[in-house]
Amino acid sequence: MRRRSLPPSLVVARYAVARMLAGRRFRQAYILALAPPTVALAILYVLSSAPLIEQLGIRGPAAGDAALAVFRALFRWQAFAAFVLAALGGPEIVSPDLVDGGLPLLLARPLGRWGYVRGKVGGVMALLAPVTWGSGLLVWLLAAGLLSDGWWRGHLAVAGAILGGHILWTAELALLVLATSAWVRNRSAAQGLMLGILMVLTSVGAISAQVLHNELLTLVSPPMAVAALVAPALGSTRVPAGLGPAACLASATLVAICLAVLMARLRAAEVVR
Amino acid sequence: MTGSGGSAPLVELDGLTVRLGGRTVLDAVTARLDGRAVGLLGPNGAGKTTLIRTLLGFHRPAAGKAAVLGLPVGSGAALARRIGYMPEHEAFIAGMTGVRLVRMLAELSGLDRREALERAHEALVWAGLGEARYRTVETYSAGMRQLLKLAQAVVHRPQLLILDEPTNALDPPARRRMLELVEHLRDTEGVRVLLSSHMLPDVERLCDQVMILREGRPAAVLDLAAERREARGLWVVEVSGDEAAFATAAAAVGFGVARSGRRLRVTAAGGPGPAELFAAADRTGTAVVRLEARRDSLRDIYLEAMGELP
Amino acid sequence: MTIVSFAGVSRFYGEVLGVAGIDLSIGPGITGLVGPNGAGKSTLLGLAAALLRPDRGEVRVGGIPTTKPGGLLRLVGACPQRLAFPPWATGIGLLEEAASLAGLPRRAARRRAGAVLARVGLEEAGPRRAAGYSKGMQQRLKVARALVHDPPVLLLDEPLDGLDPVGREWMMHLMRERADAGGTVVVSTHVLHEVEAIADRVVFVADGRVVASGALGEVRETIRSEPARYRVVCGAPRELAATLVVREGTVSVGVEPGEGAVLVRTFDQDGLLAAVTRLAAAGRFGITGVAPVDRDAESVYAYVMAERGRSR
Repeated sequence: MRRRSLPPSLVVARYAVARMLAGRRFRQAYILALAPPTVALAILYVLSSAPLIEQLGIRGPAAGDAALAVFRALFRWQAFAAFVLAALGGPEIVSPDLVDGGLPLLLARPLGRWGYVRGKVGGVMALLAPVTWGSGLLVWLLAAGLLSDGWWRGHLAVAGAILGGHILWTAELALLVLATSAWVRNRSAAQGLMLGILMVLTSVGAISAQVLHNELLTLVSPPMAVAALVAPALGSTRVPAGLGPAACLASATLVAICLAVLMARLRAAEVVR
Repeated sequence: MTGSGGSAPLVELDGLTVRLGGRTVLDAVTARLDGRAVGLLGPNGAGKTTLIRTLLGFHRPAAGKAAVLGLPVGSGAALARRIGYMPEHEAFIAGMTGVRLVRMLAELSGLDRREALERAHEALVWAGLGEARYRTVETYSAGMRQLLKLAQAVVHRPQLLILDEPTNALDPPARRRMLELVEHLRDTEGVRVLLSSHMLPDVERLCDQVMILREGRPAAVLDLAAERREARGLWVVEVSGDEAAFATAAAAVGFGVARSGRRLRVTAAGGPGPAELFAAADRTGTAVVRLEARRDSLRDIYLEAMGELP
Repeated sequence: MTIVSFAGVSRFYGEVLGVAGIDLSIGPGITGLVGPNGAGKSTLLGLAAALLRPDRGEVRVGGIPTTKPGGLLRLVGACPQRLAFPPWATGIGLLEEAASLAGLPRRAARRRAGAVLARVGLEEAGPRRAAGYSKGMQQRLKVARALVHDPPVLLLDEPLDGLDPVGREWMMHLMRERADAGGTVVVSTHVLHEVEAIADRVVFVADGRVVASGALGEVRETIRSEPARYRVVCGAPRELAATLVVREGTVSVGVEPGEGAVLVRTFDQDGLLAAVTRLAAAGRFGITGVAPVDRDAESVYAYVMAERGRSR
C-alpha cells in the first residue's frame, strides 16, 4: 500500500517554510516579533487587576477603552513585524527558483503555476500566522478571561478584525514579496523594491489626499487600506469611517496586480524572439 | 512500475501547431512515434525544444492535438507523473543540497516523504553523485549539474524520460557515463526515451526511431533498425599493407571503391559479399584491419533530409 | 615543420592551474586538443593566440614569440569559446573591425569582410546586429572573425559546440579545407568521434599537462600494457574461438551473446589480422566482418587517462 502523499502545493509550502526558517536573521526577527504580544498581555494583566488599577486611578469603563487601545497598538506592531519577516524570508523562497532555471524542474511535475503560487503564498502566510492573528487571538482570549465577564461579548468584532485584517495583510505581503522577487530575481533588490513600493504608495496616497481633499486617496497605500477595514472594530478614530468598500477594492487591486506580475514572470519556458 | 505506457505510442501528434511570439514554430505537425526510444533531430530553431515543451504542457498549442503515452497533453497529474524531464539549460535551485532538491521534486511527483527520501538517495548514488549529495548544488561542476538533472528526472521512476541535449558540453568521461546511464534505464527498467540532440552518434546509439524536424515540420520519420538492415551492400574497410593493390583487386571483382578520410567506402551492387573482399585482400598480401557494414547511415539520412546531399 | 611551439610553458590564474611545464610542437594539418573540463585546453589555445601571457617559458607561432607586441596578428586567427558581441555591432561591422585590427587597409578590410561573410553563409544576416543571431550563426560569425585576414594558423576553441549536424559537417569541412591548403588548425573539442573523424594528430591534455600526443593509432601503440581488441563477426563463433585461442599472443577469446561474434584480445595483432583474412578468404567459419574495438578516440582516451592514473 502506498501511503498518502501531500498535494503538490502543500509540498511547495512545506519546503518554503523550511527554507525561510533556515535563515538565521529570519529566526532572530521571528523571536523578536513575539515580544509585543507578550508586552500586550502584561498590560492587559495590569488592567484586569483591581488593586493595581485603583493605584493608577483608572476607573471601570476606562479599563475597557485602554484594552482596545492595546489591541490597536498590537495590531499595528504585528503588521509591521509581518512586513519585516516577509521582506527577510520571501525573496529566499522565490529568487533561487528563477535565477538558475529551476522553475522548469518544478513545473514539469504535477504542479501548475497556480499551484506554485498557492504553495509559496500559503507557506509565507502559515509562517506569519503565529506572529499576527495567531498571537492576536491568543491575547484576545486571555483578555476575555482576565477582564470583566461581559467584555468578550461586547468585543467579538475585535477578534474578527484581528483575524480578518491580519489574514488579508499577510496575503498581500506574501503576494507582494513574491511578485517583487520574481520581478527582479535578486534578494536585496526585491527587499528594497518591496519597501519602496509600500513607502511610495503610502506617501503618494497621503499627499494626494491632502492636496485634493479626498480621504479615499489614502487607500492607495496598502497598509492604510487594511487599517481602514479594521478601524471601526478597533475603535480607531485616526482613519475616517465609511471607507470599507473602497478599501476592499484597493486591496483587491493590489492582489490582482501582484498575481498578474507573478503569472507573467513564472514561465517554464521563456520565449526568445 | 506499471506497464500501461508500454504499448501506447510514445508521442502522437495530430495537426499540432504552436505559435510563440507571433512566429509559427510548429506547423500542423502530424506524426505517430511508437519507438521504444525516439530521437528528435533538426537544426537550431526547427522546433525540437518547442515540441518537448509543448508535450510537457509549457506551451499551449494554437491548433491540433498531442498525446504522450496515450494520454492527451494537458491532462494533468496522471501524465506529469509518468514523465521525467531533463531540460537543456542549467537547472537547479541554489541553496539546496542535492538530496533535498531531488527529494522535494520526488514529493511533487506524488511520492510520500519517506519514499521520496529513499528514492532521492538511490537516484543520486546511481547517477554517481553519492559523495556530492549533501553539498549544496551551486557548488557542483558543470558535469555534476548535468548528472543532477538526470537524477531528478528519474527519481519518481517515470515511464518516459524526455532528454533535451543531455550530452551538450560534457567532457568525454561525463558524456560516456550519461549515455551508459540512459542506456541502462532503457534496457533494464524498460523506460522509454525521447531524446533531442545534435549528436548523431548519441541518437544512433540510444534510439530505434527518429523524427527529423525542419522549419517546424517533420522532414522525415524513420525506423533506425530497418535503416540499419538496409545498409547492406556498403562497407567501411581499412587494410594494412598495400592499400592501392587491394583497391584495384576489389574493383576487379566488381566492388565500387572510394576513399573516405583514412578509410575506404566499398559498395557492391547485389553480387559479391565480405568473403570476396577478404579474398581480394588475401590475394594482394594485405590484411583486413576493419571491414564492417557502414555505421554513419544516420548522418547521410540527416543531410539528405536537410537537402545537403543530392 | 613546427608552426606552434611551447617550451616549458606554465600559466596560472592566481593560484588556479592553467597549464604547467608544457613542451609541445604543432605542425601543419589539424591538431585536436582533448581532455576533461579544466584540463587546460582553452589555456593552450589562449597562449598560442597571444591572448594570455605565459608565466614561465615561451610560446612561438611561426617562429615569433607571442610576447612580441603585434607580431602575431597577421599569423593567427583565433575563435575563443565565449565571445560576447557588443549589442550595437552588426556582423559585417565586427568583421571589418577584425580585418582592420589585423592590419588590412580600410578598403581591403571591407572587401575581405564581405567575402568571408559569404564564405560562412551569413551574407543575408551580415547587416543585422550580431547579438540577435542564433547560436549557430554566432558560431559561424566567430569563425569568420578568425578567418577574415586569411591567417595561416587557426585556433578554434570548441567551435562545434551547439551546432546542429549540418553546421558540424560544414565546420569540419572548413577546417579540412584550411589544412589541405597548408594551414595549421588547432581545435579543442569534447566530442571524441569528431576528433577521430577530422584530426591528423591528437593532443591529450589532463591537469594542465600534455599526457600523450600523436596520431590516434600511434598513441594506441604506445599503450603496451593493453592487448589489442578485435571483434570478428562470423557464423560459427565457437569454432572460430577455438581456432583463435591457441594462437601465440592471444590473451583471451570470448563469444558474444546474441549475434554471432567473437571478441579477441591479443598482443600479436598483425598475426591475428592475417589469420582472420586468410580464414575469411577461404570461406571458413562464415566470417563477414572484423573491426578493432579499442582504436577509436574514445577507447584511446580511456587508455591514456587510465595509464596516467597508474603512473602516478
